[in-house]
Amino acid sequence: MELTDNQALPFPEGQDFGNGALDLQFLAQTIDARMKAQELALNDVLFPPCKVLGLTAVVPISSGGTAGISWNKTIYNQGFLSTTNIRPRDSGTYMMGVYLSAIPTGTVTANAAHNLNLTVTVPTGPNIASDQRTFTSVASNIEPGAGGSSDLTTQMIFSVETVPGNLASIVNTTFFHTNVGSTMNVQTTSYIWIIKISELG
Amino acid sequence: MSATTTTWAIPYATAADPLCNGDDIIEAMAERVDAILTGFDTDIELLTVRPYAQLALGAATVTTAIDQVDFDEVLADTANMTNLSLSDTTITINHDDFPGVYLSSWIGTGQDAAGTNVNTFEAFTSVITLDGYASVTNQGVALWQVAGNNSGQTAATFYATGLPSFGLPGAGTDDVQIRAWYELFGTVVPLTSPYTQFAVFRISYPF
Repeated sequence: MELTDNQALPFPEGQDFGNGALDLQFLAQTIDARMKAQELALNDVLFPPCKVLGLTAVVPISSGGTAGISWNKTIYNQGFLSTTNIRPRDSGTYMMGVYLSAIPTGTVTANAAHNLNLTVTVPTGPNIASDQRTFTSVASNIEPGAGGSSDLTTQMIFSVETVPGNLASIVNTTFFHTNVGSTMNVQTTSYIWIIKISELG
Repeated sequence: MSATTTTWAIPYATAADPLCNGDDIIEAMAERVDAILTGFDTDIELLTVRPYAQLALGAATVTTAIDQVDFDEVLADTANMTNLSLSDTTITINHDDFPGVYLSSWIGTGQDAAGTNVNTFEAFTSVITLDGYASVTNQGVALWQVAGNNSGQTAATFYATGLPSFGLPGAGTDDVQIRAWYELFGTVVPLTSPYTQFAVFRISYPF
């Protein structure tokens, strides 16, 4: 029995024509195994880990403070083990973004600022407190005094390497505003998303 | 060889083949399937590990009012797209080896020395092909702007995304350089590490 160079597919040696049926069986079974591995690899590309989270209820945020958003509604999940958080831990390159809509509950303050901040802390070693790299992306706008609502979106790209302890990255979304006239409600149409775009080279 | 399949030209035996040719036919079948599966492996690898590079500032850099960003750290590079000793402002795409459609993402944080307000940022990327392909040469392909003051916060972040299409079949043959720029209106501020990052990755392969 000999093997092909790349895929190690078996075939009979020259002048070995004693058992063609068995030779074909070995070849077919080996091809089957190789194709199964390719199918799995292709599925990973066709269906990359992807997740979208939203909010089950509006989130009221007072003026002047920076408040975190707790995403608590799974809109879509492909490949993330946890259904309630959006913290990547598997190695790869990811793209992540947020859309946030906020509306004043009462008086609109002219020229109020709105600020959306997305931060991902990626562990680079076994102790995330000291072994980390932080990626931040922010979107801001100014209320012109017309309607008071704020629609913001931001995005970023980052890479994750598997670290001892298989630590997950930490994702924080915060919203800050200076609408002193009233609280602003972050709407349930807001969402955060993440998709794995590549394995590491 | 008596026959091959229609689509993939895989050889197989027919009733007319003598029994003593069985080993040659099976070998030919195995070699042909080997070549097909190896081609599939190459395609899957192309899709799995994308050409991708990301630069960052490892230390804060004071810049002028309008400048290309001088990066000093390579966070990722899967396709020999960066060489800081040669150019610390550029991500380069090898046209022949890695043609395709690329997406760039550029985010940065600026803060003035006193830690007070910053003014208006304008961030954009430029794409340069060395063979002078007219439609993309020196063309800013993305623009995003943070307007007004930042209302008491001590930092402002901007980002710019672009979808530069280049390297398509027949469009050009030379390497493509992509650079991140920023322009500041008002007080000159340094970009802040480590939040200033510039990434380019391939999103489609031109089959």
